[in-house]
Amino acid sequence: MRGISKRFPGVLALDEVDFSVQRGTIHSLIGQNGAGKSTLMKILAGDYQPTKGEVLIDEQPVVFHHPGEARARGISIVYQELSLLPNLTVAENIFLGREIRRYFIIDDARIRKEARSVLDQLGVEFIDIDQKVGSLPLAQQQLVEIAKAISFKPQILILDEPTAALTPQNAERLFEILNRLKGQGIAIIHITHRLKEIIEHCDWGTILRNGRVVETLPITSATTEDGLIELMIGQEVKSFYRQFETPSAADHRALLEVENLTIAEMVKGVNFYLRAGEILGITGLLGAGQNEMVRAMFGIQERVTGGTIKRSQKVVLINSPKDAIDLGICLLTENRKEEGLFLDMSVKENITMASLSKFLRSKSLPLIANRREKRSAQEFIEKVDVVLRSPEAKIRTLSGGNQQKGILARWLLRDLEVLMFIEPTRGIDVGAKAEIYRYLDSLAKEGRGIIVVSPDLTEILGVADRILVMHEGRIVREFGHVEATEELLLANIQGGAGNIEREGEKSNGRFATESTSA
Amino acid sequence: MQRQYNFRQASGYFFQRYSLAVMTAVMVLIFALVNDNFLTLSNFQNVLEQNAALAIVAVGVTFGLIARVLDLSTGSAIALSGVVLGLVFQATQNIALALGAGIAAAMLIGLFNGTIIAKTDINPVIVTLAAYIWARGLALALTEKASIVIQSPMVGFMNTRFSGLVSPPMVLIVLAYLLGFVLLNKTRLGRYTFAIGGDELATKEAGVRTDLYKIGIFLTSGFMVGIASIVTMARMGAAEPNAVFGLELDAIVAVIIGGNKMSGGEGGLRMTIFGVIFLALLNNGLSTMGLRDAYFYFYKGMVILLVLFVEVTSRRMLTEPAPSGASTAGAAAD
Amino acid sequence: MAVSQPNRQALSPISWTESLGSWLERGGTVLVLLLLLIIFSLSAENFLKVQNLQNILRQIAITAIIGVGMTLVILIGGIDLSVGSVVLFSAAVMNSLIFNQVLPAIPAILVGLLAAALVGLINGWFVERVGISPVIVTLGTMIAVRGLGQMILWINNSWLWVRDPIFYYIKTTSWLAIPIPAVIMIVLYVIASIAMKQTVFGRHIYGIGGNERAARLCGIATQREKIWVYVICALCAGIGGILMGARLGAISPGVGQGMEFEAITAVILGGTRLSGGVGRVERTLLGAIIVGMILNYMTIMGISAHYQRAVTGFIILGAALLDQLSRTRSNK
Repeated sequence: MRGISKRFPGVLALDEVDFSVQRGTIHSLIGQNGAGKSTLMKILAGDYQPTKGEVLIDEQPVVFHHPGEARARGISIVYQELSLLPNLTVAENIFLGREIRRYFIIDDARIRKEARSVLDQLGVEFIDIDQKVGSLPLAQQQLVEIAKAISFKPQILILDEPTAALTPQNAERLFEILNRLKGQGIAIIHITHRLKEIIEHCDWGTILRNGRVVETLPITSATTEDGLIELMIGQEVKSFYRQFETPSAADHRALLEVENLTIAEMVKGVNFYLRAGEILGITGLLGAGQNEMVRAMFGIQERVTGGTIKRSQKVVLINSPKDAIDLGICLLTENRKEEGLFLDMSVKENITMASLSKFLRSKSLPLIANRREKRSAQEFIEKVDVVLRSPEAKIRTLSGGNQQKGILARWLLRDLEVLMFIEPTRGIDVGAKAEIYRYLDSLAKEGRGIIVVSPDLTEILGVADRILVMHEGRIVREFGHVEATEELLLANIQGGAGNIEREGEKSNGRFATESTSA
Repeated sequence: MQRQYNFRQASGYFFQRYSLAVMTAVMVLIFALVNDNFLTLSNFQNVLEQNAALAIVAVGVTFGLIARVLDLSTGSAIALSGVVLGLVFQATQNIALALGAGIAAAMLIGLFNGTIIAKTDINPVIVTLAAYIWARGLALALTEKASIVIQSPMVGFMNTRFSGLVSPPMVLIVLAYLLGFVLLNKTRLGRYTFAIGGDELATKEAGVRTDLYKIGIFLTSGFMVGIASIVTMARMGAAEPNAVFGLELDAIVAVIIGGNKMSGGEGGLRMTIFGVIFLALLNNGLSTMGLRDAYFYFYKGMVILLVLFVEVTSRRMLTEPAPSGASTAGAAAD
Repeated sequence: MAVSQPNRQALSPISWTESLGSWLERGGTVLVLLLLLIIFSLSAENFLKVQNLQNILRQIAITAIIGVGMTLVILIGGIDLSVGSVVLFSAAVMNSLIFNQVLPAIPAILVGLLAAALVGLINGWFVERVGISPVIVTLGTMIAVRGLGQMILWINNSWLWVRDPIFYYIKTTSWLAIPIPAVIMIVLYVIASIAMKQTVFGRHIYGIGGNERAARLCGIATQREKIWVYVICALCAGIGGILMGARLGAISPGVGQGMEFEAITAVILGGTRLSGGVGRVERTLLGAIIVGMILNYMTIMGISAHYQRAVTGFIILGAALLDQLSRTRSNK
């Protein structure tokens, strides 16, 4: 691709970008959100037309008017969001849009045969082609998606954050497959936020910043994550994460104690506690039960089969978010769009939604005092630094990071003591990430209890005072922030040893006695 | 892959599968006890002939529901295409031409609705609600509310029971379901009907011209409406602008009772058949009991609600385990 | 609009198409209304006469009142097809109580409203607690409740005279030249529009319609509030029942038939999004007025009722297209 520019109304998304990939290599495209990675790939895949510049394949200039043309020239793209249909089978999905037919009758036998051979070629014989895609685990869906891309017999395969939803194990398997494809002479373009993957598996890296190429470099063992980050953000890396200046506040009271929490097939009797003033990190593989656990504590998890939750030493019942909020507990989930945002409402209304009764004029006149509401919203917008045109702007118009800050503002306004987060920085760029970590830190310093659930170990290591590692529904190990390292966490995430499990439980038990004496 | 069910789930599974069959049996039993003539051959022939239009229209409605396009216009479309049929017959006295014109009119209404829905983002309910109103209005206006008598041997033919058993409307029902079955399960149109109902955007991204296939769904539905319109006309011997009032809602109810979901993406004609049978027997049973309209409506509405209640409850028994004495959280209705 | 913060990120400026779009969205319905008013008053000389305008108000009052409840139901992503039957049912209940001298007028009317609310409760319960699609539930109650209403009529020899003077008063009196049904309509719209903007319940309705899961996670008792919305909608239909009795002077089995679609038409013309979360209740009134004016104009021009009906259908389509146009403009 030579001299590619793309202008959207008001923004120059790409500015004279040169980019090339060679057969038989994995080439990583690196950059912050908004750097232009996806736009560039969409141009290559024929989704967008460049404002300027040209695309060349084997030295021949080509023009794609729509994705079909790009596909015909051997370019396949796997987008970040899965494009599979959950209600169709694996085979039907792979051949969606180009069903093999005899006259006008679909030849299902041949479709199934071809689908089988594509999956076998990928080395994923274990996927059943007759199963509905919706009933497959996410990792397998991702593989089906790749199988679909492969079935077009591409020369260039573009993967837009394929590993975002995968566990480290599955990501490894994916790279095995990619390496095999690489061996077949396919050029692979790989977009990811996981810098470690780039260093371990990619041959080349191109770094984009604000729509320009900063550098294209071979990835060698000498490449470091910090080096890449510097190139990405264009300045030296300052610590994004918090400074652990406060000594671990062991004498603080327990805000929350969870005993023997059990969720059918997901969580098997876990015990833990949360103290005031600390950030508790919980990590584990996808499906290890950590998300379900905090969802249960917010009253939105089905099939909770047993356990007790104590809030400030009192046993409490949490059957709905309302119960939890009344007890001073809130949860920000990773599904911002589905579980957080009111996209068609203003930023102000999004912020005040959980605290409307604060703004009533009086008991006898239960109307919302608009001016007070607005002032309050404004105050919290400033507090968390939401960048916006006006508090009356629809929240839909904000960037992901600012939307997340808006939801954070909602709960700060509500003024609760326990704040729980699942993947607080999912899909947020580096700058906004650092800001969010800063708020978490200051909230903890105010004496609130924070729980951060995340599969991102760097995040957990960066923010948490204490780290719980979950594996198959159990807490297998607890770390203080001093003793924890990425290697240790990784080892425990994958299952750890039996004796470690006992250790973890012991440490929980120890606290129980402390808390009763407190 | 053998799944283990507990008793509650097992009974839920049983009810989910067979609840409609059980309820149909109970209903037949009740009607048979109340009415001596209910369990006779001629009454069942009546059931089929009375409800032929409903059964045929339900094929098209099933396509629509799977693709998540609810069609409220089918009843009015039957009336309007029937009127067109009648007017063409009046003008030409050519029954073949008239029948063709009727089907063409019905498909044209489908084309009109389908094109608007496919080419704009307007909610299908609005578009077909509009058609529900204008098509009926046109039907009434074109005839000034009078019916057009069709004097043709074709009407007699349609009302003959050959060897005392089978009449043409019954054959048409069978043909409609055969055609529908092949279209839905063996062609691209059907495959994409499911795909659009599952995730329209993803289907589009797979390179499918979803707009064309949406129009195709409405043309299919329109064709079924056209056939239903002929059946209706033949039964009354006249094109009747006030005909089949409320049929669109009956058809939707039948499809849903059969077990298809409003949320689309799944389902099939097999389910529709059972729903239609249930509703047809209900209509017939209630009307042969000699009830007043008031009781007819009341019982019909109550039975529909009851059936839905049982179906949904049994479905839930299957998917949720028994509630336990959890002190932390009950089943969050999410 | 004041910029609250120094812009550190490049925010795209508001383009003129966007502002045209949002202007259309805000004022489009009013514009159409004014345009029609001008055209109609110029081409039909009787159109602007007080008596004719009063006629229009009487014509639309019931539809518009039901439209209040229907707007709320549609805002939460539901729909209520049973309102027409509830009009018949509540009218039948109250008038049979009065006719048979069981209760005096006011308590009888209250019982009628209570009966309506009960239907709403059943709708809400089936939709929310059992989890059946609102189209199907309210279709079921639409059929059953019409049957129930007709049963009451049948007990009273299939026809009920509306005899109490209170109904006669509603029918014949005007305050400041505004017929009583229209007064009731206006009062309801004022209350509803304040409630939607200024009460917690109103804000919650928008939240639930926009994103029900998020609303639940904000601690809103979504199920309970949604059930209330169905009750409110049925109550509006119940009020419609009072006025319907007053207008007709007699209750017959077909009363209220098709009113559900008339009310939905008004809501759609008012620009409320059918999938919920976006819309304003006072615009439903504009929608009802537009339909009322067009029908009235066609009557003056001697167009048959059937063609009027056909035209109504196309008006809905036209309005939806216009709305679509303004929305795609404002989203680009």
